[in-house]
Amino acid sequence: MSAAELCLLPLHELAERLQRRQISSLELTDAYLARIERLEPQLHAFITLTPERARRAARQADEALQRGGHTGPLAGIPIALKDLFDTAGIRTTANSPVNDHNIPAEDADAVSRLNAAGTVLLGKLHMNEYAFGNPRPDDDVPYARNPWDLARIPWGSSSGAGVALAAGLCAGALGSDTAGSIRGPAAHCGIVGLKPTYDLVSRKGVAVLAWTLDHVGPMARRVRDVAMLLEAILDEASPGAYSDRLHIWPRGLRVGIPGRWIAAKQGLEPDVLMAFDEAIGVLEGLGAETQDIELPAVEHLTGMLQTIILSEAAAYQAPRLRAGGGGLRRGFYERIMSGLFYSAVDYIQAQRGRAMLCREFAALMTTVDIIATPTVATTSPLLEERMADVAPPSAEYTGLFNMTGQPSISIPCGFDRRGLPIGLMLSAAPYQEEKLLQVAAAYEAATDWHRRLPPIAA
Amino acid sequence: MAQEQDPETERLLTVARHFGYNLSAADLTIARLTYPRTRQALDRLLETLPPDEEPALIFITPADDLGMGVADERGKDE
Repeated sequence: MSAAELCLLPLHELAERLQRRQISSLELTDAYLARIERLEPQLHAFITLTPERARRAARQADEALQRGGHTGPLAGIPIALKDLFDTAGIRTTANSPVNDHNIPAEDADAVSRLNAAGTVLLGKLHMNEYAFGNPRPDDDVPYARNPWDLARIPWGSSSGAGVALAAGLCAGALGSDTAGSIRGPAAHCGIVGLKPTYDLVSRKGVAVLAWTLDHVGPMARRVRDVAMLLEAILDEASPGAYSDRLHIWPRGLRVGIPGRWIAAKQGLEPDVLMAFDEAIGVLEGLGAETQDIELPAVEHLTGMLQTIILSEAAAYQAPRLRAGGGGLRRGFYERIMSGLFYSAVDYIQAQRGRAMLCREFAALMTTVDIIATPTVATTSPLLEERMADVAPPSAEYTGLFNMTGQPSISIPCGFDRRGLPIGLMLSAAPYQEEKLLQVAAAYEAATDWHRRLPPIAA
Repeated sequence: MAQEQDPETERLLTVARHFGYNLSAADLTIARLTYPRTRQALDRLLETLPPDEEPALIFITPADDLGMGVADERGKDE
């Protein structure tokens, strides 16, 4: 097997080879580092690389695996982190100039858990500034480029994670998702991204965008991979809790399709809708009972989501906003600036609306097990188009489940006529990650979209 | 020479100054675009909100309170 083929294997297959001592973690780490060195100048997936630290961790993992005993399934697996997870002794920037010299003393909780699981950190991944910055022509930093078309950027904000996984620059990654920042890049890069139930994974040590919407979750090339990563970052690591049960198809599965809401989305591309319809056909073929549903209260979604995200982001960044931007880039500064104009009353009204939304979705989820939608209405945009567009991309499909806190996953479900990946988003009731992952795994096994590789990676 | 500003920009700058933020019209490029739309959306929300609806400041019930942990969920759908 070539080094390229090795780097593009799913995380769970790499884990098996490491456990069987068919490869060493150091060999694997060196293969990834060499590939990063070759492709990074075109892709810009990383903000910081940690090669020496990675080799050291890989040697330790190899020693532990050699000794035998209990190492855990992720021992020796090379991973990368969105650059908003605190990493002790390693610069953590949230891709903001205000953090250029920020070297945390402690790891974020999720990072501590991955370290305890024996993973090998290759580096810190590119992202939109504080997970919300808008690209601008006068920016002084490169953007992570989509491996499927280097003129395009994946939907933010965990952009580097989507790029690195699609191009085979790491085996797994952690991202954050406030309105779609895990699932959007996953859809645009043709990989898998899971936003778990709100607060299922600790946010301690993760830079804040909006406290009540921020979620931490795994990204990888296969459903089994994200299941294994999720097991490792829970409060109590539970290897196998999800990944050992992916073969089970939830009996009597009911899938709700909000057809009217999907079709009403401005800018919905016909290829995306076609791929989604075909994906529903696959789920029906697997035994899902599908039904058209009306989503309650979603006509107010954008107003509530914008008010909450902007108010919380402006509150978090208030000292810098008072200082005229305080070193923030314009694309982020101008975007969160609008949060200053919402009053406390506006914020409370939006949270009252959110209570109504959550209550009505709790009732809806007694009639269906899964809600299926496209992840994003479009495929990956051209960088120059995004720079020319002052308005940030709308995140309605994904943002809905940040508002309700429900678990939601994006999996590859097709390609548009330009060869760009399309994502299927499945969302379940709170804490129903097991069922969600089972349905996603069954869909993945019944299709081969996840097997295609971007030209640069092949 | 001072540039004349439209009334809405002037109003937003005044509001910001009142709360201690010294902004310029150039800072408001995105705010001028998004704020009015969101403001209208919030007004529409208020027309439909039940009067006794409480804010969702803690909007999701912790798993333990629901008796739903990872382990508890196993086996339900087999």
